[in-house]
Amino acid sequence: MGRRETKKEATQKKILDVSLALFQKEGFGKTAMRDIARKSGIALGTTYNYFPTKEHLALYFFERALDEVMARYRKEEPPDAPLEEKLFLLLSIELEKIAPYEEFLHLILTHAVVPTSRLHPSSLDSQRLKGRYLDFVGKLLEDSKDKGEFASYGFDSMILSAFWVFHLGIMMFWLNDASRKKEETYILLDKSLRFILNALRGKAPPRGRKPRR
Amino acid sequence: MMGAGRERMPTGAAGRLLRLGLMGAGVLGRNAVARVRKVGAPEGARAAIDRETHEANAARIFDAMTQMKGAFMKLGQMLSQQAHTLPEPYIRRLSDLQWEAPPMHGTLMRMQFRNETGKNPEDVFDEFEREPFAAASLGQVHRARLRSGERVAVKVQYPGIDRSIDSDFANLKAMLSTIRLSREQYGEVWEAVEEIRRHFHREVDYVQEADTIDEFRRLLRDRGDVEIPRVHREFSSRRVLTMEFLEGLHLRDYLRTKPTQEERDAAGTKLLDLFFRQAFDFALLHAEPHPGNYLFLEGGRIGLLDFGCSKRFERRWVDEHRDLFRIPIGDATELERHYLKFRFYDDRDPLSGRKRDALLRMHRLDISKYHEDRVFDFRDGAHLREVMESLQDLARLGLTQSGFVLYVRAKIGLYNLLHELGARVNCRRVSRRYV
Ligand SMILES: Nc1ncnc2c1ncn2[C@@H]1O[C@H](COP(=O)(O)OP(=O)(O)OP(=O)(O)O)[C@@H](O)[C@H]1O
Repeated sequence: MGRRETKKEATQKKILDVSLALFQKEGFGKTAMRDIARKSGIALGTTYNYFPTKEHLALYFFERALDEVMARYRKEEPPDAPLEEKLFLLLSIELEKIAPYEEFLHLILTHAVVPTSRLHPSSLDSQRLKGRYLDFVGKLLEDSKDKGEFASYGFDSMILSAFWVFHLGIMMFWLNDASRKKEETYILLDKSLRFILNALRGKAPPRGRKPRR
Repeated sequence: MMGAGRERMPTGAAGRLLRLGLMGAGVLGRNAVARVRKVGAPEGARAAIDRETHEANAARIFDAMTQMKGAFMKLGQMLSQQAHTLPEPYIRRLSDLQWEAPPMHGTLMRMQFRNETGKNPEDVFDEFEREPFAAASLGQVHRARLRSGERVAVKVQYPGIDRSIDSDFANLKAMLSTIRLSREQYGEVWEAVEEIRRHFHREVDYVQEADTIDEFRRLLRDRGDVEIPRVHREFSSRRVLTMEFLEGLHLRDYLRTKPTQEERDAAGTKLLDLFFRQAFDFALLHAEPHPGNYLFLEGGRIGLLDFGCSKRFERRWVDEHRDLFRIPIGDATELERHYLKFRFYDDRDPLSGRKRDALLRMHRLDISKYHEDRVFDFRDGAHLREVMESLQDLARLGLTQSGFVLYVRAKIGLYNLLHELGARVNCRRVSRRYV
């Protein structure tokens, strides 16, 4: 993470790790805050201080995951790559990040459909997460525009919202992908990004970018 | 792990099926429209309508194939060389496929490499070029350098291809049934598709390709003038093939260096010899007669690439086939006896007369050059055309025994190469060593 972890962060991380393990083992609904506190050896009050509900915990998981994804992306970004490759990299880092928590994510999904849930896509907390993510993606889009990859259409915010939905769709597909190493997801990701970006550029898919044989 | 009993989204196949279903409906629709338009139209106009319909269908099938990559790429390519009964516009569009395949960007390619070998390319190689230098039908080929300093070519396959083969082939068959063909033509195409499907299953597996390469290297050990790239197994898998880099030129580039006639003749002789050696000594044929698979190297050596699709013949088949070269040109009785033995047809066959004539014609056309001790000029385009036509006749008559098809296809592919190379070869001197 680049900077030194403070004690507070260490405690939060400890609680998160323990709860993720419990969620995966016992289920999200069946795990009580009390169990989490006991297992992590932290007073129940302190635990509540950091995370008033299990949903706060789940959100914290996503926040942290996003931090790590962005950090890794910055390290690995191929400088001269077209936007489809950059987005492919970003999403594949995300998928790699969440891969160990597949079962947990399935549980969260069922939870997130409840409209009053903080995890519901329209909740303030979810919106904040989405905002951070789309800021990041927006910068990638800006970069590509600066390089002349796209014209400016004046509806960037709509493009970004659509991208958010696309990104959730890919996650859903990934969760249900039974292929070897989930390669169907990556094929879908590759082909759909290519398709979407060519549509944005207003041209047919490029043929023959490959060298002649 | 995922919980038991949770419903899984059907992957891949459904989408492809849908696409094909839609497209199939389109093809069917057009054919139906054309059928109606043709009623009562004069002969010439009918042909034009047929042509128009075929053009349009060929274009949409082509589009779908290029988009779906995978099985279809390869299939299109092979059908274009093999299914002589497909209407001409299909063949034209299909042969375009040879030159195009969607690329993988560096990130996807690295990921595929990592999934296959457990390591990133940069952890294994001293240098690795992110941009491919050549397209392969199922993926792409990158230049790299091993820690030992040796230059290698790394062929990386696009992900998920093997999974899609069977569903793609099922779709293709459904699609083919919408093209109007006569019963015999249909049988021909169907058999071709089946044969290709079997080959294809082997071809997607680079471990098998590596085995074949090793076998060819062993068989051709004594031939200093033929190079086959050495495989580096430790950096290879089912979908990644790392091999010695052959420094050579493809035919087109070789011709740009303006080789002398003698050089062309020498290369041509070498290629023909290589063919006979494979077919009759090894009973194992490099069955990809595509010009991209030959490299012209320094000092007149020939490089052979792409061992994904080799054909093994039974010894008995080879021995019997050898006889064909010994039968005097025009000796109908002898030739007929030969083909009856081969079971190309039998006496009860109503087409036996036409079949015999077609085989006799092919024999005269093709085998004559192996009976005369003189230089045969492959630059003669008329000859190549006649052989092709003759092959089409055979196909139309249903003379498409599977080993025979591959053998003849490989041979004609070679003639085509010799034609483009502009070579003159004393065919008898070559064949006499083997048959
Ligand atoms: N060992 C090598 N040395 C030099 N070039 C190579 C080597 N292997 C492959 N290539 C290059 O890559 C191209 C494609 O390789 P190859 O023919 O093996 O792929 P493929 O998928 O089997 O393609 P296809 O079946 O369409 O011929 C070759 O035509 C050649 O230009």
